[in-house]
Amino acid sequence: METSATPVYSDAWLQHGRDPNRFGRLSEPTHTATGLNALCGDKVIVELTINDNTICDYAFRAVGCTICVATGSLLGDACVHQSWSQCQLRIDKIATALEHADAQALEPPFDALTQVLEFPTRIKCATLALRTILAASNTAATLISTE
Amino acid sequence: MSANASSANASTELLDCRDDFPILDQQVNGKPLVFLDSAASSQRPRAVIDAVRHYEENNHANVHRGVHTLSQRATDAFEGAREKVREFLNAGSETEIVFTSGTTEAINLVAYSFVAPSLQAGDEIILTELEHHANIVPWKMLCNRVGARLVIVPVNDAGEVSLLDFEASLSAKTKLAALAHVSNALGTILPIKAMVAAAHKVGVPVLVDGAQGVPHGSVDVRDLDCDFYAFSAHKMYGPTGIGALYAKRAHLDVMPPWQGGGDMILEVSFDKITYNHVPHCFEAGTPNISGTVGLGAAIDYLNTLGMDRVHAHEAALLDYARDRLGSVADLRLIGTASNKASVLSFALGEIHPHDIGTILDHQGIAIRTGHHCAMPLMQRLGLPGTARASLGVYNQAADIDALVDGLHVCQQMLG
Repeated sequence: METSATPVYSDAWLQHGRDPNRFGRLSEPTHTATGLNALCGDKVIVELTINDNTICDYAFRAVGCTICVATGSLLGDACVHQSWSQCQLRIDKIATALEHADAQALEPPFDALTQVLEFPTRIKCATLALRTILAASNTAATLISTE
Repeated sequence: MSANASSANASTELLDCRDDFPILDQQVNGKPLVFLDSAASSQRPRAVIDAVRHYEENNHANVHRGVHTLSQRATDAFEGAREKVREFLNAGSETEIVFTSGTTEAINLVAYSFVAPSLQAGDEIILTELEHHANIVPWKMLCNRVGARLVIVPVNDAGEVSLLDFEASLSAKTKLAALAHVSNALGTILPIKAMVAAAHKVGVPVLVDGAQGVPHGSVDVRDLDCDFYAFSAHKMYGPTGIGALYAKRAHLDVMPPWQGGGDMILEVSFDKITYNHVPHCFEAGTPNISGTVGLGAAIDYLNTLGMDRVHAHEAALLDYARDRLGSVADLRLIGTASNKASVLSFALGEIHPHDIGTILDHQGIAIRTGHHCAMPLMQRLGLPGTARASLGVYNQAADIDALVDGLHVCQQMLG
């Protein structure tokens, strides 16, 4: 019988999945979006506080698998204190890389998701949070789907 | 494992036919394959693979109308399969068997050709809460077209459908009841015979979605007295892309053809079309001939095993699986109906079903995760999805033991 040392999920992945960073709510978000994966029922809610094109704060909530939660956690590390417009370009590049199985384009911290590429049926688990933050808006409640 | 593995063998003589299925003799991710996803699609025994190959290598030509030898052989094989289906379901006549691409097409055929012509605004079609999307979407589409509505019979927390609730749902507006024989997501076996009797009392015809019914035990459509019974070959050890609809001849005789093309006609001019006889008028175009050969071979295979023994095998394994899974901490079986086929949906603590599926796959164990094409049922149960292990004739107690071991790995990693 294999033990928890089995490499199916990386340690980084498991750590973010078990104990995600920035999991919760913001008191006064300026931008929000909700993402759904209709096929599995996973749901991600992203909240951002953006001032002068700078992401001052980020939080997310998710009902989803380890990959989904880990990606939401990694997003916080990648986005806070960054330019919103540059962040959008970067996240879109990461989501596209996952969707096209381009491991070389998965720059840190998203290189932790490289192993997802071994599970083509789980790519959308990773892209759900990414596509959700890209849809975040300050004008209306935004709902996106990976389907 | 396993000291317990022999308990299932002790109480019932299990089938020993794993070696009949060549695909099972392989390793997946470095581990012997444990296939527990038969409810999605079962594997094919060598007898089916060989029958299809023999047909393709020796007998293929288009069916009907051909005067050459190969066409006659293909026609004999095709119509021979129809007779095998008739006998398998105990239908009264082979003219009551329409070949389709599977259960979904069979249900759509009934929706289009039997229900649609007379469905009006305000009419009702009865479904249960545990139906597969294939037995929801065609009816919802039809209702939307004419302003009719679906009436849904609820399931209880065990995943059972009450006969009383079904009877209460019947009304003068009901045009059809479309009911699963066996829930693909939970394994619940519905009291179809009693439901058909209740529906017929008030003149309501019944379609049975038998996709999950045919693999698990004998089906006698005359005993059930259902009006329609739809099934797919690939759930019962046959090929994909082929299935059949049983329909009472009296219904077929008044149903208009639903697809036009070759083979479903006797005579065509630009002024007039004379349709072929029942059931050929419902089979437009060149059919899936090799698929019917495979379906016929699957029926032969099941008959060789004996459907009573198939049922006993799966019942014994189900008992064993319930027992073993019941010993896994934080595992909750979803669907605990007293009358149940060998399908085990479960939740494992807070671990997401997809994570369970991936970690088990890494150990060579194939299960299904998600909503199992039964989203309304998942909503009723308050779950985004479940993990589901479904058993077939080739499974043994050792497969259940491997599953339990694999679930312990899931818990070590993510619990």
